[in-house]
Order: sequence, then C-alpha cells, then structure tokens
Amino acid sequence: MGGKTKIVPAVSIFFNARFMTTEELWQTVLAEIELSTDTISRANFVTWFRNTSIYSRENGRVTVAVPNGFTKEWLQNKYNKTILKILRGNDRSIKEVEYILNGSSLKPGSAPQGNIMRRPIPILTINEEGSGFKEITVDKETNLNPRYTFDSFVIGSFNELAHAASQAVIKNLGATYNPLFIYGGVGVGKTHLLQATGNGVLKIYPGLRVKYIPSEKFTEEVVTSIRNQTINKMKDWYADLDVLIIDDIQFIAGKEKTQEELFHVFNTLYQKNKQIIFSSDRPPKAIAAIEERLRSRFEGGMIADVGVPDFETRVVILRSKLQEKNISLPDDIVDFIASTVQKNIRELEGALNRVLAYWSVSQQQTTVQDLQKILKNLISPPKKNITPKKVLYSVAEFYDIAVKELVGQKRKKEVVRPRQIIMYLLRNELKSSYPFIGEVFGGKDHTTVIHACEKIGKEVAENESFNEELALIKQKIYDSA
Amino acid sequence: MKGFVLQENLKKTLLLIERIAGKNTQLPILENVLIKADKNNLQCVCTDLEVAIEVFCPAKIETAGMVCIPIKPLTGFIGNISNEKITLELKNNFLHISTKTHFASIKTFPPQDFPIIPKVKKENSFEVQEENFAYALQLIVGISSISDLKPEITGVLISAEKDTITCVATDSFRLAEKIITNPTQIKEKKSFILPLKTIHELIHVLQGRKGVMEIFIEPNQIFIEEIKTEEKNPKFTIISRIIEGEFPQYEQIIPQKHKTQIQFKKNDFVSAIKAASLFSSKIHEVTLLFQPNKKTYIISAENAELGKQTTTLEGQGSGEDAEIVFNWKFLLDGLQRIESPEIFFGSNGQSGPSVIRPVGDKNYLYVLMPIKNT
Repeated sequence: MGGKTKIVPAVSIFFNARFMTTEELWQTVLAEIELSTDTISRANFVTWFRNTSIYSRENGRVTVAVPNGFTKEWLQNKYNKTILKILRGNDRSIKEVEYILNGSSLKPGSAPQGNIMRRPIPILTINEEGSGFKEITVDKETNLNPRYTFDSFVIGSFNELAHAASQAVIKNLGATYNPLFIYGGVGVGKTHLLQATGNGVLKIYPGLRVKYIPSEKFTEEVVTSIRNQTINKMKDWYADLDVLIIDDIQFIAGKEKTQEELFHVFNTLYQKNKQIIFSSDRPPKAIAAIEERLRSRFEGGMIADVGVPDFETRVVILRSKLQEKNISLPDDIVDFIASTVQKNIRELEGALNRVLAYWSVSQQQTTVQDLQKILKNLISPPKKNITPKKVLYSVAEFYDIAVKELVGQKRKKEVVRPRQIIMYLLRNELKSSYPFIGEVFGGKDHTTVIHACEKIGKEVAENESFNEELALIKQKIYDSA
Repeated sequence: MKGFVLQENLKKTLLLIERIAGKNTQLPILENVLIKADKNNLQCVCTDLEVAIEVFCPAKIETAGMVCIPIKPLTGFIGNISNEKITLELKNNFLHISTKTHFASIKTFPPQDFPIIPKVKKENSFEVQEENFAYALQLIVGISSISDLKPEITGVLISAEKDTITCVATDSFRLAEKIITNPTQIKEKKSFILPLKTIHELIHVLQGRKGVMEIFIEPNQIFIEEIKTEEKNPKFTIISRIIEGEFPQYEQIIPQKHKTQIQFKKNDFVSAIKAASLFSSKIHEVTLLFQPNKKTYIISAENAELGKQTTTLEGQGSGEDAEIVFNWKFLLDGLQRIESPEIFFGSNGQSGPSVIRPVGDKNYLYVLMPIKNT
C-alpha cells in the first residue's frame, strides 16, 4: 500500500465506533470516501452516494440502503471493498456489507426518509384556492385530532410553563426538553396541549413520523403483539418514530410487561434524539408501582405541571369557546359561570353548553338568577356529602392503616401523621370545630388538634411533594363521595 | 471489436435510446452509449440512472468487444449518411466508423465507467400488447401531477388483473382512467406506479410497434422485454424504477350517481369551451349553466377587461339544474382525448366531482372538480 496518507476524520480516532449510531457511522464513511480524492471525483461521489444510508447493523453485517438498482450495482461492484475497509477501520466487528433497495430516491438531495409506504396517504385533497377532491382519510397513523391546536389553546399562569415547554419542544425536537412530562388534574387541558404539540410539529415538519397514543392503547398493543408474536415488529415500528406522545402514562402502573416495552422503546428513541412526550395526572414520583428505571427516565427531562385555571383565565376560555360557536352571552352570565365552575375546564364547557341551551330556548331572556338553578344540578358543590367518616376511611385506605389505629391511642409516627392529616382536612374542608375533631378521635384534646392543623398547614406551605400527596388524598375523598 | 451493420438499423436503434442519455449533467459518462458487440447483435444501452433502455441492433460481428462513446455525435453522424453497410472497428481507444464514402473516428471512454445495468428477477410478470398499451398511456399521461409534493401521483398507476389493464393518472384536481383488454389472462393482480419520465420514453419507443412485451415487476423496479418483435424493429428492453408508495384510493372518488346528466356532441362541446376560453379570466374559468328541464345548456365566460361570451348547446339531459364553474384547460384535457362523437357529462353541482365519458365506451373516464366558488 505504502506512501498514501489516508485522511481520517478525527471523530473515528476518539470515538468507539461501536457506540456510534448508524447515521454517524455512515457519515464517517461518506466523509472518508469524499475526502480521498484519488478514489472518486466529486460528481461521481454525489451521484452514487446520494440518498444512501445504513439500513441495519447487526452481527457484523452492515446493510446499506440505496435508492435505485443502478446505485446498488455500482456500489456492489466498484466500491464494496473501499466501503468495507472504511467500515472495518471504524468498527472491527463489521465483517461484511450488503446492499438493498430502498426507494427514497424521490427527492434529490434529501436525507433518507425511511419507508414511505408507512406514512398515511391522503386521498386527493382539496386545493384551497381552486378545485380539488376532498380529503377523506383520517390520520390513522398519528391519531392526532386536527381540532386541538395551539390556536385554540388558552394560556394562563396555571399552564404557561407547560405551554412554553411544549413550544420549545417543537422548535428543538429531541434536544431541549426530552422527555417532556406534563402532569395535572382532570380536565385542565393536558391532552389538548399534547395533541397541539403533535399537530404543531407536523405543521412545520410534515414529513416527520408522529404518534399520539393513550397509554391504555399502548398496553393493548403490547398485549396483542405478545400474543401474536409480533412484538419485534411493534418495537421496530415504534423505533422509527420521530415524536412519540403518550397520554395518561399513570395507567401503566403495575403493568410490568408494558413498562418493559416502554423502557426499550424509550431508550431507542432517546438515543436517537427523538422527542418523547408524556402526560399524567400526577408527577412521576407519585406514580406508584412503576419501575425505578422508568421513573428516573421520566424525571430526566422536563417536568411541567398544569394547575387549575384562575377566574380570569376561565372567563377567557369561555369567551373563546363562545367565539368558536359564534354566539355571544352577556358578560355577567359568563362571569357567573366562570365563578361557579372552578377547577375543571371540561366541566366549564359542559356548564357553558347547558347555559347556551337554556339561552336559546328562553329566547335570550335568561338572567343570572336563573343560572343558579340551571347550574346547581350540574356542579356538585365540593363540600357536599363529605362526612368525617369518609375522610377517615379515605385517608386510612391511602396510608394502608386500620381506622381503629387512627382513632386509637398509639403514638407511632406511622399513625400520628395520617391522624394529623385527617385533623387538618376536617378543619379545612369540613370546617369542623377543634373540639369536634378531638371527639372524632376518641376524646383527644382540642389543643392537640390545633397543633396538628398548624403543623400540617406549615408543611403544606413548604413542602411541594407533600402538597401533591394531600391533593391526591383530597381527590380520593371527593371521588368516593 | 469489429462488426458490420446497416445504417438503417443503427439509425433506428440510436433514435430509440438517445433521448434518455445526457439528461444528467452530474455524471458525464451518462451522455454516452455503451455498445456491446456480441454474437449477431450490437447491444446499445443508454441510461439516466432512473431508466435504462437497451436495444438489440442486428449486425454481423467479426470480433466481439465493448465500446463507450458519446451518443449525440454518433447519432448525428449516422443520421447524415446514406443507407449502406457501415464498418465499426475499435482501434486504440477510437471507434472507427466507415462506409464507402464516409469516415469518422470518435474517442471512446472506458466501458467500465459506464453504470452497471441491474438485472431483474424474471418472475412476477404479465404480457401486454404494445399498440394498445401505448395508446392508453398516451391518453392519460398528460393528467399526472408534475409537482414533487406528492410523489405517488407523479406517475401513472398501472394495474393488471384478469384480462384488463387499468391505467390511472391524476394530479389531485382531475383524474383520468383508461382500461384496455388484454389477450392473455393475468393470474394475480399486479400493480405499480410508473414515473412520468419512463412513460414518455415508453411511448416514444413503442411508436409504430405492434408486438408484445412482457413486464416483470420487482418492489422497486420493473423490467420490460419485448417478446414478440416485428422484423423491421430492433428488439428492446427497458428497466426503470417505479414509484414507491401507494396510489390514492381513487375508486372512491368516482361518483356513481349524478344529479345532472347530459349527453352532448363532443365537437360542439369542445368548440363551445374553446370559444369561452378566449373570454375567461386569469384562472381560466368558464361557467356551465345546464337546465335539463328547460332544455337549456349554455357555456359562458366573462372577463372584466375584455367582455363576455356565451354559446348555447344542444343536448339531451335529465336531472337538476346546475351552474358550475370549471377550469377550461382541465375540461379540454379530458374532452380532447375522447374519440367518440358523443360524450356523457354527469355532474353533482358546484361542490361535487363531475364525470366526462365517451358515450358507448366504458373504458375511459375523466373526473374533474369544479373551481371553488367563493
């Protein structure tokens, strides 16, 4: 050989090519071939190596995808030795190279897009200015509803962090916040935000592969794939995504196989810098029964919470929904609805619909007083039907302690703490008097109760995770009511 | 390499393949033809890396060999000399071409630099009559999309089943479908999308041919081989990429019912549209006002700067009244390809697709959307 200096890109010296992604490896090969001018002229290089990529690398065999039959023949016959030599120079474990046809030759100069047949094909679409056929297909692949966009998403202080994070994700897929974990209570707009992000990505990069899937569906797919022994196919399909969005991830709690598959899919996508987005009704720490390695991965990216909308934001949401429907209501009615329904945007919309129905029936004569009656049945005041007994039982269940112990005399830490929480809840939620609470616990002194409420109150103000725990307990109580 | 060939044959051969060469300026070797002298043929190949055409020119070969020379000068030279016997001889990297009166010597390129033509597995094929097929392709090739946005429709869908071959082209505003019958039965349904370029070349090659060709299909490419050639034509083979992806499910677009149905004389309809086209605006709109109950059929166009124009047509129709606006170019595209004297026009109002068909011929169909009227 002697005498010829080979120009080797610095990357291969300091990098163990076994950990290079196939894209990086192929880039290295291309760079070396391009630079060694005695092997190939510029025009030849562009013609023969354009739109090529590594399709797979396993067991020492690299399969190169080429756009057409001519390229296949050419590379196989003229460049195979060179390509193999460069590959082996970077990764000694590669022993052979083969070539397959992969039809991504359609756009000259574009990066390989993967198998085009897997993308949804819209049937002849309508051209907005002139003539055309109607778009009939629904996006079966992405599961995204075109209704949910950032345009229809109302931003308030309760969700501006999550909103900003989602926007940042779109601008910098897989780079800034990966994974993005959005959590919040029921009906606050998590799914809207997730879907808007998906739609936003597709708007800017229509060629990307985006999939939105509720976690129960994911579990279903895992189960079906295992049953039909197509689990590898499913894994490969998910590995090909550019953006994966899973809604209500808390439901994988306790589902081991689903978690395992999610773990693998997560890793594959994460290593390729592909964007992953989750939503949940609680922070990762509060999801019981999930593997630590999954939990730590959820926490490894950006966690953004969505709170409850404040009054002003609720008014804005109502107004924007009214605008969508092209109807207008007097301001005082809108304000009343916003002040009555406080937590759940879905409930808000339901209340609005109900009011609108009455509005049209009464020929627009409804007053605020009428509204009180209309909405009373819809919105159950949160304090109704909560008894001290319910609180006791819910908290006991939550901490897995017998009610008898809670009302007993034991001063063990494990018993005292739930006891104090119950006292706090009875005081704050049911507005019971201190002596009354003392009696609930079998004649404890009211000063004990005061001390408990203060202590818990302080912790609520200072400890974020305890606050969340408390919120979960409250939800449990109200749900059982 | 040394051989003898008749000018007439060589000229025919070169004219078949020279169009495809030289379309790729990146790789100069593609401006050449690769000529392989073997047995009693000169196998001449040209390619642009998406399509390759190989033609077998009958010749008397003394010494076998291979040569690679620029095709345009060769074609020009051969075209200029009279019909006599030509001697081809490779000497010192020059191809000597000589007749009794003419002589040329052209510098050659290394044949190993010429792209290697892929081989296609000879399975999964069906036979087609050349004349019929070329006719069908010609009928619909202008309807395909040229834009790259949706690659699946930048070609023609060829679908072969039982004893029919269906060719469909669309650019998402209009769609044309032509069905031809095939003498040989096709066992399993086969379909692929042929890129526009290949279709143009195929039409060019098949001109005047009445033989039979066989199409072999692979997932990314097809191979066409002429299996029944007439004496006067040199045999050809074509290998071409096909477009990956799925052609849109066009069958669902074709309306089965029409709110308005009218029959016209084709020539009258065409000339009415042509007249209106002179008065249409920048977006080429012409208005069709059809009232079957009053037996009034008017085609008109109006242009603020020029004026307006109307033509009243005679026709037989039934159904609802309709006032529809169309792009006259699209209308003519569909009409002019029809050969029967009467045409059928079915419409579903301003917002639905309209259909134009030749009366008495079920094998051609043109679907067109009106211009959206805002």
